[in-house]
Amino acid sequence: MNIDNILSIVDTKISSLNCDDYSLLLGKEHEDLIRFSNNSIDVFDNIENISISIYLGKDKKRAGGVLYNLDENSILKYIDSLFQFCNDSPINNDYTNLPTGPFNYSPNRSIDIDEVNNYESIIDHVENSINSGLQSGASRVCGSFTSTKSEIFLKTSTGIESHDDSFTNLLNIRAFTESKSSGHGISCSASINDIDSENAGLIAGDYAKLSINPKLCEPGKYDILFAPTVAADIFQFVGHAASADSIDSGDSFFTDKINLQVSSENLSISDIGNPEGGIYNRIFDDEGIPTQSTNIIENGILKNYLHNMTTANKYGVKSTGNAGIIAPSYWNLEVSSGFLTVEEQLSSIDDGLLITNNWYTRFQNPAAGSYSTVPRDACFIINNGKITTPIHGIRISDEIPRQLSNIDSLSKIRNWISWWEVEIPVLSPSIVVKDVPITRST
Amino acid sequence: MNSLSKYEDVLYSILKKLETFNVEYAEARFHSIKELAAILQNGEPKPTISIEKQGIGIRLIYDGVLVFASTNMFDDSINELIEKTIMKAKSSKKISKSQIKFSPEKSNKKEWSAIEKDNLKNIHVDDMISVLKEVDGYITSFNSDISLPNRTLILDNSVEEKFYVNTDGTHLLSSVPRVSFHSQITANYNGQLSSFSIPAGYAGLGRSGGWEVIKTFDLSNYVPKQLVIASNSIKSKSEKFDEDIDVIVGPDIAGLVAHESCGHPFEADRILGREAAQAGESYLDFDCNGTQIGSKEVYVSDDPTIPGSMGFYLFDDEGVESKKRQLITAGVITDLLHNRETSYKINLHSNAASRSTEFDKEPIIRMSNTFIEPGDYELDELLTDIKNGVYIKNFMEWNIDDRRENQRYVGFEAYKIKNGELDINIKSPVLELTSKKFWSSVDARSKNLNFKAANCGKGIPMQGAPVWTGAPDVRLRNLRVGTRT
Repeated sequence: MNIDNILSIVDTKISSLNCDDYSLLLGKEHEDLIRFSNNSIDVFDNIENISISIYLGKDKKRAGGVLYNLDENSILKYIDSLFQFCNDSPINNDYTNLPTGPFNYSPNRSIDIDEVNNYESIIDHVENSINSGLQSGASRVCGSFTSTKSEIFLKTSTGIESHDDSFTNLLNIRAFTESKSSGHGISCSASINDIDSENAGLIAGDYAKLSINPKLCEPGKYDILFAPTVAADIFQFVGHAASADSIDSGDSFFTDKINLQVSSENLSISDIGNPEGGIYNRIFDDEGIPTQSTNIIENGILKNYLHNMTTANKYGVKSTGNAGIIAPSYWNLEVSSGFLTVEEQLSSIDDGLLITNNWYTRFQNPAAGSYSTVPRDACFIINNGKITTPIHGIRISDEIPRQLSNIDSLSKIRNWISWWEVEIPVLSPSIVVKDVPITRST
Repeated sequence: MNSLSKYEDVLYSILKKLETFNVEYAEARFHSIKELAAILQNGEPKPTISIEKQGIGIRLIYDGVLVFASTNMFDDSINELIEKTIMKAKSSKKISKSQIKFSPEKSNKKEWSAIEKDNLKNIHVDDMISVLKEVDGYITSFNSDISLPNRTLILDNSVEEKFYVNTDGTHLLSSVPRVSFHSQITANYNGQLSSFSIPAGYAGLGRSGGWEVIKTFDLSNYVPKQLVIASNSIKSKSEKFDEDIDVIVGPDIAGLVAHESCGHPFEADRILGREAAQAGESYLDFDCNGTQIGSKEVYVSDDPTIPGSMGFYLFDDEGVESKKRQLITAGVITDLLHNRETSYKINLHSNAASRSTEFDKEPIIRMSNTFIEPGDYELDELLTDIKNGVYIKNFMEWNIDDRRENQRYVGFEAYKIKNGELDINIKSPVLELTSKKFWSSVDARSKNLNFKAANCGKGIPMQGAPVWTGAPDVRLRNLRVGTRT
């Protein structure tokens, strides 16, 4: 069954139910994925699927869901069930109608149709990254390359009908010299031609070589230069905390902080649906509102939460184009750049650390932002502005609000970061944060 | 499972088509998950969620290259997908430096399922909402000097069905229903906000089975009791310990240690480096069997055959019959978690740890229900000879490095132990220690084996697998306990 047929069946069926609101979002995705380790391919994945997300609202009751079973009878049966679920649901006092369209949407800035799904290019990139990592001194290289083409079609009961395409290419590479000496490199782009596999392998390999024979580091407070990968992990929780749903659920450190200072003045963070050079662009949200650029933090001041129609109505503001029917969430975070080169940032630290990657961030109290995370791959002591001894076995134990307020500098250069630990893309600089508590195992 | 039989033709036609390309091995898995979730946030319902995800995952070995493909379009496009996949396998040979082979395993033909007494198909949204409203009532009526302004409650029913065939002649149909409960609550105490979950540690109450499972959660007793405990924990003060002390960790923490410091590092694919770029590696070598890594009191198992468990399965997603795996016996490594690829490398049979969470994800080595075996003592007996120590019953914050060596657990419900008895609540004691230190410090276990539901993350794309983590109370001698500042 082709997409037009599926849309027609769904639309005809839903129209017959006399819902107050409905939307259908058909998604079509093709993904090529290569996983590799020990300098050799482990597996490649060739994934194709079509899904239909449906939302129904009637008499202030709501139901939504996703269906992958696309024969006509299954579609009709599913919609009947969903309608029954909607009728069986309690009334929601915050019920808000879907927005009335049509809207004008800007063209997606990430489109590059001719380059997608070029499997030979993916293989070349994997080979380049492995060779580059080995040539720079690593003994083994591992990683993954994911190339995804997504198409979505949206239709609502309120006159919105549009479609969008996006393209994502993600190379994640890790190079090892010893079991505890490794480096990490990534390259992310909508266009496969803009993936710099050689440089990602080079960075991973160089760091792996510099990390040979790491030492233990004394616990204490350090000024730390966080590479963009680590900074992006911190900033993604700013995006999460800015969602109105996080405020409602109580697990945000931004509760009651609008128009208050929440970070150092040199920090601004925006959510952008359709950024130039972005890697996960959307021109409309799941309710059909055009995506936009929304200032979350502007020169240290918290300016906005992120909303869908329901939370916007509840908070008495306009939707920021961040639906999710269930909850608003960010699309892409763009963090302001600073005025220093990374070398100048290093020079600004007399006695501190450089941390190039991290993982496993978990919160003791999300409302306070108290958390810890585990640095991995290359970490170094900085003495008098110079990288010196490689270290391992440390943990950052801090509060995100304190870190945001203690950002000393941001680099001029920013990188798009999206990998296993930072799923939604963040355009992030390197940052220097003062007095970060470091612990280690006993 | 009769509803699955209609996919038989398409599954076998896939195998037949693949055999024309002279593949060394092939499997096809129809995989369906139907899920219904009710969410109540601050007393208001979120949209009821109904997800029906299904499709076919295909895996094959072609000229030593392992390939996975998937689709949810059951038409001629499957043949096109197979042809493209074979072409890509040929191209991939360029970056393949080792031949992938699977261990030989006997073929199995079976239909199996988890026991479902009250069929989830008969459960309506209002049944689920009424459970959540009851829980919401316990929270809003909670009488304390802390207020609870925010709460999100989730009840989830799902049924996972699979129809698996492979070129070894294996033919398996299965069905596993599950029910789970999760919550996130925020407390306000003297203007300070504290988020916590019930159960603590972002865990869940969950079992495989039908709607009868909801009664086993005993929410009418469990939730009010946990609210009192949370209130006491939030109001408690931290305690500084200058010397090493004895520690008892409750089943929630000890169970997570079993998962993080034994289950994950015992995954053979991780040891061999296949997960290195994402989920990481292991502190173990591949030939570690027989190595002493803990005290003689350490017994850790992973058992997918436990009836009613979240990680229940009788055959894995490579068609191998499951069994209990004794990973550590008296402190000695006695088994790893294997699939057919890793077991081939040591000339063994797979112990059936290969699972995929959805049709569009490759099967990889996963834990099922990983737990520290119970001991012979009551909790009171473990406490008896501790003059100055802590009992850390559960946690919120935890993490571990990607070799599974350095871990940290920050207590939520925790007590000082004084002269063999539980004393005052203490706030956020920190255990930050190596896996080796933990396992070598164990000197006694209680009889009280207890499980929690968890969602275990691994792989790329990320696969969140339903598991249980479990343990009794475990006593550890002479540890440094820190404080979260």
